[in-house]
Amino acid sequence: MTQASIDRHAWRQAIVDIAPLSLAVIPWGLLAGSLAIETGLSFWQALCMSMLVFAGAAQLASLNLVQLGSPLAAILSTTFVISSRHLLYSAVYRKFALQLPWHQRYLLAFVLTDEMFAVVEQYRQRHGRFHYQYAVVAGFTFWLIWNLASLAGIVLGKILRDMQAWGFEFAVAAIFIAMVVPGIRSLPTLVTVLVSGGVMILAELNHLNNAILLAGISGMLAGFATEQGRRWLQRGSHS
Amino acid sequence: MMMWLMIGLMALVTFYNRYAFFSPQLKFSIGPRLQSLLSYTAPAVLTALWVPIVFVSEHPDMEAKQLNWQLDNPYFCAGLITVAISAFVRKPLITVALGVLVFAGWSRL
Repeated sequence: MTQASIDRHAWRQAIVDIAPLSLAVIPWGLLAGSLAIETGLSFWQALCMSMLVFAGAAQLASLNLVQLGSPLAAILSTTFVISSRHLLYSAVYRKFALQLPWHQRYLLAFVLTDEMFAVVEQYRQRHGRFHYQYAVVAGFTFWLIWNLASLAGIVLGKILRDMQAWGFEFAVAAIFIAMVVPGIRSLPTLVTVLVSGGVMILAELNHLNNAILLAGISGMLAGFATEQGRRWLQRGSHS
Repeated sequence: MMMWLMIGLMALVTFYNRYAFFSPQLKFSIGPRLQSLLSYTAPAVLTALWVPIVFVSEHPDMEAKQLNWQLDNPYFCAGLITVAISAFVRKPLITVALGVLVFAGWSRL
């Protein structure tokens, strides 16, 4: 294959791979758009929020805080805590990003969402390498659908809010299950998943607001410790 | 004006979290041990995203959240079945399609 046809293939593959995740984000976009209008944002403010902040959970939380009359510092620190899990994704791709010119680093960071990270990690497992164009095409496809859904929410206002009845929230869970479970091929990964899930349940039941980051780091440390422990045991048995 | 300031600062915060480790000014290199720790990021964080949907529900009357483990709870049951399907089938699209079907069926029961 020539380089051009590989790139075309990566573009198409990126759009196909991110499509189910983009569909699942539509209700969240509708909600973010309609909640922004309900909170008193203008059309352009609501649209710019989705286009620039581009973080569903952080937007919904901050709009709730605005409705409660919270100070700006509280809104910004909540935004930081909720989106801090992206720091981990940023660390994972550091070695690839450092090889890119500054504008490509900025573009990659701008679209580095949970969903983009999930499909790029799948791509890395299948092909054994990081593909910049694949990542950015997947990221901007997701960005476009997110903003179209937000726009629909802004225009339609209070449309169907009962997302549970739609089953979309479950679709989000099913997608992440389908991406995590087939990857459990070793004991350390199994430990990672069990510890992260267990800590997340405890953190949620106790209303900790940085639950995702806490659970994520706990799972990573547990998996890493299992791997190191196993290596240590193997070394012990050989000597 | 205040609202524009809030949107602008929020955009900076979310961008900062995504860009932080891409910065060449940040003088540190990721050694083999940290690299190995980071290789668990995807299973750890993605699990933290789906587990609450399946295992934790908001109590309808109170603010409290509670553990889901009743058989009549479609999130819990369809969630476990989806995990099993995924372990056997291993194909993401088929897993999601079957999982959502099970959820829809269980919700109607």
